[in-house]
Amino acid sequence: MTALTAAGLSKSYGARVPAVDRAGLELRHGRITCLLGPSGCGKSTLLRLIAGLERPDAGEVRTPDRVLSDAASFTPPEQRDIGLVFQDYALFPHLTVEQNVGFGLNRLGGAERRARVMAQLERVRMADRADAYPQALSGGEQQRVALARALVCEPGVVLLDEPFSGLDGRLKQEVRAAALRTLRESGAAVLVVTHDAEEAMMMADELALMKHGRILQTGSPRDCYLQPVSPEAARLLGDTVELAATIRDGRAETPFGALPAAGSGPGRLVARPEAFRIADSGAPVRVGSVSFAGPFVLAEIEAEGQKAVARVPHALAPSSGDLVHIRLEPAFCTVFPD
Amino acid sequence: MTTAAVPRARPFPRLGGLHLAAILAAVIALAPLLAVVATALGPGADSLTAQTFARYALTSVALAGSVAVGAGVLGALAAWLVVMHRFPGRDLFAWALVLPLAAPAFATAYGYADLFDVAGPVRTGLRAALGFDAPLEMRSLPGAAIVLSLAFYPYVYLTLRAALVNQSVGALEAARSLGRSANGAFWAVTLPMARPAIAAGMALAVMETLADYGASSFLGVQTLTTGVVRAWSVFGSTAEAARLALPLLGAAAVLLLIERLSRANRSADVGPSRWRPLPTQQLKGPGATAAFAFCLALITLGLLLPAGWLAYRGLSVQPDAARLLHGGLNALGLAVVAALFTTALAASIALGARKSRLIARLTSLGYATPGAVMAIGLLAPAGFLWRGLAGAAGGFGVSIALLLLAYAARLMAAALEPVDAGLERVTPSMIGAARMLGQTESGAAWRVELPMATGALVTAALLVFIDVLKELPATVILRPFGFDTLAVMADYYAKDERLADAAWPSLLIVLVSIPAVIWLTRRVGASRPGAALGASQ
Amino acid sequence: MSLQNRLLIVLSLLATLAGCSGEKGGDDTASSGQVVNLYSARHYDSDAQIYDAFTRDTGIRVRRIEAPADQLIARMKAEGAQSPADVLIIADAGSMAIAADAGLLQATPDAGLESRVAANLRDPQDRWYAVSRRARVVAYDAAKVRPEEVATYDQLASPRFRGKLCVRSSDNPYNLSLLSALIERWGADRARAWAKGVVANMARPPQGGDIDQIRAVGAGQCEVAITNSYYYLRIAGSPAAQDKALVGRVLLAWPSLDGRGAHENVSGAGVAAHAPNRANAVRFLNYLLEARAQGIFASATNEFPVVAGTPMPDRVARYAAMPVDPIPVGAYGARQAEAQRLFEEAGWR
Repeated sequence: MTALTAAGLSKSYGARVPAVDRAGLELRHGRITCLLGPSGCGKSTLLRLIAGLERPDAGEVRTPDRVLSDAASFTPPEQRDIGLVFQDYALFPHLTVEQNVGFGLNRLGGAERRARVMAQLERVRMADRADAYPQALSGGEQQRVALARALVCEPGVVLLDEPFSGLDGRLKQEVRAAALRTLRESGAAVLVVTHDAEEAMMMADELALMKHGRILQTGSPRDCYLQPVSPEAARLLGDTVELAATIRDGRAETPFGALPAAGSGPGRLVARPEAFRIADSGAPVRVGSVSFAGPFVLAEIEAEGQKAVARVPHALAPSSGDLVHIRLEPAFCTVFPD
Repeated sequence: MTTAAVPRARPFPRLGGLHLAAILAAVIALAPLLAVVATALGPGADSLTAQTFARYALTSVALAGSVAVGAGVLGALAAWLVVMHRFPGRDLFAWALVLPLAAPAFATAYGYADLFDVAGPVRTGLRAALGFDAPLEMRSLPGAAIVLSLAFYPYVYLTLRAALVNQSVGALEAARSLGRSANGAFWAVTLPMARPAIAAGMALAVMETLADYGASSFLGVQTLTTGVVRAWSVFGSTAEAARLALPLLGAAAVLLLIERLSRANRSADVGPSRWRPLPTQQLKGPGATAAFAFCLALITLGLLLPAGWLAYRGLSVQPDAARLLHGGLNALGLAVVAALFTTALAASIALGARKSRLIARLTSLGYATPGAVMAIGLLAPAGFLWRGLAGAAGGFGVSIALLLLAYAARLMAAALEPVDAGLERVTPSMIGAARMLGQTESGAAWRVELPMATGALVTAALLVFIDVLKELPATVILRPFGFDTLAVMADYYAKDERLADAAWPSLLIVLVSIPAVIWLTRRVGASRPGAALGASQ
Repeated sequence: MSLQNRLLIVLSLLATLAGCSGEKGGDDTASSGQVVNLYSARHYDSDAQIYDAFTRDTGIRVRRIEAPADQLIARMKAEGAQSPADVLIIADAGSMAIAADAGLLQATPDAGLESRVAANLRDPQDRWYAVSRRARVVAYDAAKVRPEEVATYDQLASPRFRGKLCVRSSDNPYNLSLLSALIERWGADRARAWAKGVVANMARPPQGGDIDQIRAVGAGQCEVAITNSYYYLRIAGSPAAQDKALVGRVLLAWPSLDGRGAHENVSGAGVAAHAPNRANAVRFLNYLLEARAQGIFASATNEFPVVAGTPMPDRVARYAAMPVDPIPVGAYGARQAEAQRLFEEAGWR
């Protein structure tokens, strides 16, 4: 069920290119939407427009039963029933953990408020630090308190702005797993802003790709990864190899092989590195440098002057200078006519 | 959670309560200054010759320049000694060095002028011993520069000490690791980083110097402010007086800009989040003695000597205890209410005018505006009220209210600076978080921003409190019937050339201010991140 | 939360103040029969004795605001018809005349007042009356100066005292009124020449008050000093050993202006143009010229009484009857600005 719809949102600061340019999103209850884009693409601004912390120049934000902002009206953030977790957590340094989490419940009586705060702190396993001040907490703990503070009011929509970027490595994974669990339990419509493609694909039920203030593509992570709507969208989700192709007779031909494609004339084939499979037969290519990359090997390959990087299992790793055969895996390739 | 959406025509920020409060506060603070400008544009022939004006202006520049250097060197040296070194008495000096701030500059001037008068004890004694008169005239430009430097060096000391205390150990250690000695690191790293703080402190000292009339006129130094007073009282032209004040307003604007810019730079060099104790150097032997002697001399010359001499003079007369008590209670009550009121206005401006910094800066101009000029500016708006509201001119409440507005206009900078600095701790996302948790803009200010700036608000209130205790011109001209304050009494006795009687109210001001000054200086010590937490709760 | 509480306290205090203003305003009108509102530019502590005596004798409460003359005048102008001031008192005839010419005072023709104050010591239109007198005279070092060397104001400008004269700065009303009188008597050119002569004689740049000048004579920095009579008499009346020694060495000369007598100035009082308590104001004015008040002016501030026959201490009585220039003192007001300009041309700071 739709919880919040944003449509045609624009926002510009000064005379420069708009920070957000006619962007739209749909958030659903119980589902996690990840808004992915490089830093400076306007994703945080879009989130602030939805939250009501900024006023859009144009466009509309609405829930099924009311308009939050459009050309004629603007609901201030405090009346939007939206929770927000800030990148820096924004915990209030003059309040304890318990007071921070209870901040939004000031209309409740003392006992009831405390009960709800403690229940929420239990959920994020922070109940034992209720009396601590934020400065005394570790980064992960602060993140959990910030999440608890946003969720304790039981908002219909929860927005998270780069919630895990301040954490590193192992801690990040743990915190992320716990946060995901809590967010799903809450049943809210969740929007997570991130610049980490892997994180986005892992967390998201729904993915929205953003660049230069625009939403390039929305869909499941799988669809977005395997069927990018543009080379730009493809690049947002991971490494790509882009090859010049000639489309004719329903096929796109490249030195590394051909794939079915519509249209005719010059085009571009965008492939993931794992699309290049070393096989017994196929396009003959020369192997350039080979580098070790943990679980796999990256091999530079060259054919007819075009270069690509292939991601190859260790077992099949070629040596530099080898002549091997390559077959393209269609699932990891997309053809775009020019 | 309501469903009401506020209808709006343009994508402009809604004028909430905060903005309205800020606008009101700014109007209050700016009204006298605008009145000065309006008066300056009004009719009224100029009676002062260009030559006389030039003499006043040059004297002002010379005095302000010498005080900048004098207060700068004394204050900077003191701060450097106290923060970066260990020597006997350091902990005591750390706060005691601020104490001269408790003494009104006019009281320091009374003490010095009398002590070094040609018929005073020092020169009489020297004449007896040497057979000729020692040229130790305090009633002169150099004398005034010395007196005001001694009175205002704590501004430089306080700002620089705060900067040194907050400096990054990392940068110091980096300098040491790059082969600098401790002293070398000071010159190469600490001093350049502290330069903005010194500049800010000097700017404050210069503003105080330009705004001063009591001390410099008592010391016979004729500055632009003298010109203002002459134009007004002798030639009866408030227009000319206001015109003479325009260069002072301009100077104030420039100084405020310096102060603001240096603060902007200062916040930029707060780097690492890990704070370790500052490395201090243990002084031994002659070094320790010299440091000790310097700090002791500064406190002695800045406060103990002039105040002590005044006290000695005061003992020769029987003070009117009832009047002193009355004046003291008046001053105390007025200062407390004015401190709270001005701080509240400053908080409104700081919170509500965040996007229009110019307004905030303009409201600070009153701080460097000489009292006589302020009085001209105050009378115009006050006149509207007096003439428009029957009974207002004689009313106690109206007079006090006008006084409060006058203090706010005159001292807004003193309150706005610390409040602004305190609010810098509040990140935009904290305000956003409060909004997302159901608070309106005002609610966020009330529940997050103000509580986080509590310490800063108290600092602001104390600064205003101390300044109001010393304030003269606005108090004299706007006060209600029969309402004497300590400063008014001191001025009154000094005008009647009764220094011994003037000593009592002057010393009472010092006495009342000292606890406030001590609290202020403690806060600077506690301002090092980590230490601040306890203090701000 | 303590902060919120504190702010609430501020608000309630302000509300209380606002309430006070209404209440006091009402109070004023209710009790207007028992009040006289005084704007005083006299800075003498002992005036309170006179006010207290007035209240005791008449039951009329004296409420006062004290400020420099120019500020009181400016405040009264700003207050306009709403001004609560009943009586304006200024210790300078020139400023009094300026206030009268600005329309701030009303005529109070009163036979009693006119009979007690000499014609040259009151406004021709009866807008103000002198209440006390002082002379601007010379203190001199008895060991170095003979009395006949300071018998006229001219002599102060003579080369005899080159580098030996002490005086305060030019914008002091007492100096302005002195030069105003000289302009009145001599014309601008001669007055300027006199001022130049005095400047040439200065032992040091003008500084301090009159008492500082007398002490400088005592300390040997100068031989003569220009001072108001009551400052010298105050030292003369002091019980301190140091002061007794000083008046032993430094004597008061009584210079004469063109053989007429010493330059005289007055404290004046007048009824404000919009005085809400006019009757009380007139009564107060009369009281200032009665024996008790006149006596307090003489004994407490060492001023000379305006009314003949006032009892006074010996030290004051000794000089009270000395000859003074009978010029109409109100003339100083119109000359004040010119006097300041001449001072500046002469280099008298």
